[in-house]
Amino acid sequence: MPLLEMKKIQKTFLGVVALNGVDFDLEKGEVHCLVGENGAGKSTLVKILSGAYTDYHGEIFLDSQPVRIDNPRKSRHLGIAAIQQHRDLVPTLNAVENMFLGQEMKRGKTILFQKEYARAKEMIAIFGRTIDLEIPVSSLSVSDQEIVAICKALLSNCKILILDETAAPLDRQERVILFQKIRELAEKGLGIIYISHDLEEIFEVGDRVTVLKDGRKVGTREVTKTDLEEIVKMMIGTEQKKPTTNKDIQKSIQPILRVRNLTVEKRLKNISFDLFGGEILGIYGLAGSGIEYIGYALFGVVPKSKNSEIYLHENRVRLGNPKESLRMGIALIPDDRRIKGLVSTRSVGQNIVLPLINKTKQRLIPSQFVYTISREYIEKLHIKTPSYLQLVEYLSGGNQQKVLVAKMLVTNCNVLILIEPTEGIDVGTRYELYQLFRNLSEDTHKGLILISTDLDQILALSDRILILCRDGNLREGFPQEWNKQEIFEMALGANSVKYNSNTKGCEK
Amino acid sequence: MNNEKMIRQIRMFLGNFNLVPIYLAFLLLLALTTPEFFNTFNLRSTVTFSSILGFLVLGETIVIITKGIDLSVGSIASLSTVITAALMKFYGKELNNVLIFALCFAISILAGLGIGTINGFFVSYCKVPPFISTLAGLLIGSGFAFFILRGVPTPLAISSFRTIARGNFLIFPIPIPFFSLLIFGITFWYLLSRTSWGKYLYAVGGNEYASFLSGIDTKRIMLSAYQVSGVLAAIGGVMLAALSNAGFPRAAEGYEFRAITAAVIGGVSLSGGEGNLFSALLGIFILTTLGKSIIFWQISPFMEGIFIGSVLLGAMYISVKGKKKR
Repeated sequence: MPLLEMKKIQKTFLGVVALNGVDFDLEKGEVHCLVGENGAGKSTLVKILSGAYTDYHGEIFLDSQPVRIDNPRKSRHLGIAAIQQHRDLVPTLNAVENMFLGQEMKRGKTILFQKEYARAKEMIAIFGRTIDLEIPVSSLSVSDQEIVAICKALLSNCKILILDETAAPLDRQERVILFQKIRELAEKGLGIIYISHDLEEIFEVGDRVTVLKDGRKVGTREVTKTDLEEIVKMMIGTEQKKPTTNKDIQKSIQPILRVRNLTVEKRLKNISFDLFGGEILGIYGLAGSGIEYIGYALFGVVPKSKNSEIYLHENRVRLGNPKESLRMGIALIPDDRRIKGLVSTRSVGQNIVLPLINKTKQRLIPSQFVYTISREYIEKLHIKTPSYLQLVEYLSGGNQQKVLVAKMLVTNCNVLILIEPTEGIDVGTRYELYQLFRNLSEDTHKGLILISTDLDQILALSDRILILCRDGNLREGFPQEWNKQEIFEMALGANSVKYNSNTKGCEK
Repeated sequence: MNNEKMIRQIRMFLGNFNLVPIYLAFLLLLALTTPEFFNTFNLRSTVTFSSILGFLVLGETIVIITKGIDLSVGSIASLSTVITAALMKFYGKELNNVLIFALCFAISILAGLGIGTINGFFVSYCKVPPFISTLAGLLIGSGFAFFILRGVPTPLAISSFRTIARGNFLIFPIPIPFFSLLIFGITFWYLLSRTSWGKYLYAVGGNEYASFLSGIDTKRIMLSAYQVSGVLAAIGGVMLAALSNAGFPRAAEGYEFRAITAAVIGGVSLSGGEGNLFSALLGIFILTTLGKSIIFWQISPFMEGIFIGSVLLGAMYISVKGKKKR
């Protein structure tokens, strides 16, 4: 008898079908992974369970009893706890208040803070962490926040635990602990639904895996009886593609960008590197190493210290703000596109032409202008949108990212900085984007800086790699020189590792 | 360790720590420049007026914590003065005084609750921006206030009612409004910091969706904030009537902005989820003291706004700068 059964679940958003007759079931004591491309319907399914979407069709059975989940309270009451994709914490409250939000320890009406603190400390200690419990969670690091979110869910004494992209912000060690914890909970009889874009995690933690595609269920497999290849095939229908690379890369002889002693207070110290036209330079570091600040600093979003020198085509430039950087031909595609990259309540077209508005020197923007330019890029980048008038918030993650790329391409930049460009984007679209970036660097001779904590991505795309080591130094090399393990250990800063003699060593 | 805990608790109680020394320094400056300020009459009137406004500040702070704003508190207070004056005018001879006093409070509170409910309903259930919803509340409240007495300022028919604003609490020389504010302040401090209702107010203000997903009835919490604000403004209004001995539809006009200013000076964040009742109340005492001291410094009272505006900007600047450093 399954713990949870969902039958013929259907959900539409403004006429767009997100889930189309999906069946799903969960046994006691199993970890059931849910995978699929972006927009396949994983998060929608989970949000129905957690009570965030209530206008669904279909039947849900808990312990064979039919239930209707009307709101999040009902869901909690039924023993379902979810850790959502976009961290469900209140940034102004502290860790303890967040963990016990909606499930306070009370005597009468009074909250028992002392008890809550003690319990919270215990929970966090499980992860081998000490987190400052007094400060608002917005001041905590992303992985600390994730730990708080996990503890919050674990506290709820649930029967069903849903983890939606929970491991993403965690580093290797924390993931291992999380997986261990998940297995322990499953052994205690919980049913766990695990969603991840990182398919390898399925094999570390899962019992069964269900693949969704375009709002339909493709199939369910036992993890022990399947492999990565089959899952990927089920997900994207075709086999995984690697971006095709033109072997003899036409690199410019002179670097187009030279960075010397780039220092950002508390984040980076004396970072130096060169960027050539027509290459993709991958910058790799662990989460929390501060690599993204290299991008922010070059784009003028965070202040640089005085001794930082940046040369564009041999001319020293200041790059004090994004406007100046854009004028110099440096464009940035930030992580977290919803917040930092796109005006999601405006149309695709308006987002694409946004950086041009300054340049046209026109007070009125003719719609013809928006139409021509956005049409060009919608076609060029294969952005899937009904029209250029579509609001960006209704596009899928991958297409939003393409809009962002288009927006930066219209600026006619020479240097394009990409920070975590495929965060939250499915495998299929991911390779489409890889190909796009590859073509950009080869055809247009732009210099691309790829800043990522995803090692596979760095290796798949980069012509040259910079690794930000634990001690704050950069190590430079070519992807062929090292294997994954070596790069990872360098970033981790394990001193005992012997490096190849042909590496260039840490630059000062 | 114990010491640390105590400091933490004091800080939780007082919120924005640095307001206390600032206020003390300001009082010291006053003592040095114009010792006349500290005569009993002036002190009493400053404390009384601040305390009455304090009721509006309490409600306003609670609303701002939920990331809202309440523009209607001034008009609710004005309406209460009118209700008080009207009840005394029409029923003052027929009913005994105690009953009339009780009725004044009860009906004013009902009116405040009504307008607060309308405000809160439209904000939480209809997603009308708080600024618009409570602007409507302001207009409706003030419309009623004008309608009831046809816009005529009316003195209170029962002069003993003044005791509520001017009398002492028992035998101590503490004005009744200050004492009642203290009671309400401590009560609401307790509710906000120690009960789940209070915590939910902060949670809703900090991240409404996350609170919703945590199983909190966010709509009801928001509604309750506006209701509480309406009720507190009504109580303040009745006391204001007692203080000025009259009911007038413009009695508390513009006081909503004083309340907002006091809250902001007290470190309550307009982006929601942060704020402390006591520092907001300290804010209104600072504002009122500043306004009074201008007269003692022989600066035209018409310039009060210039001073308060500058203080507001300064306070905002410091708080924004302080936040960045964190």
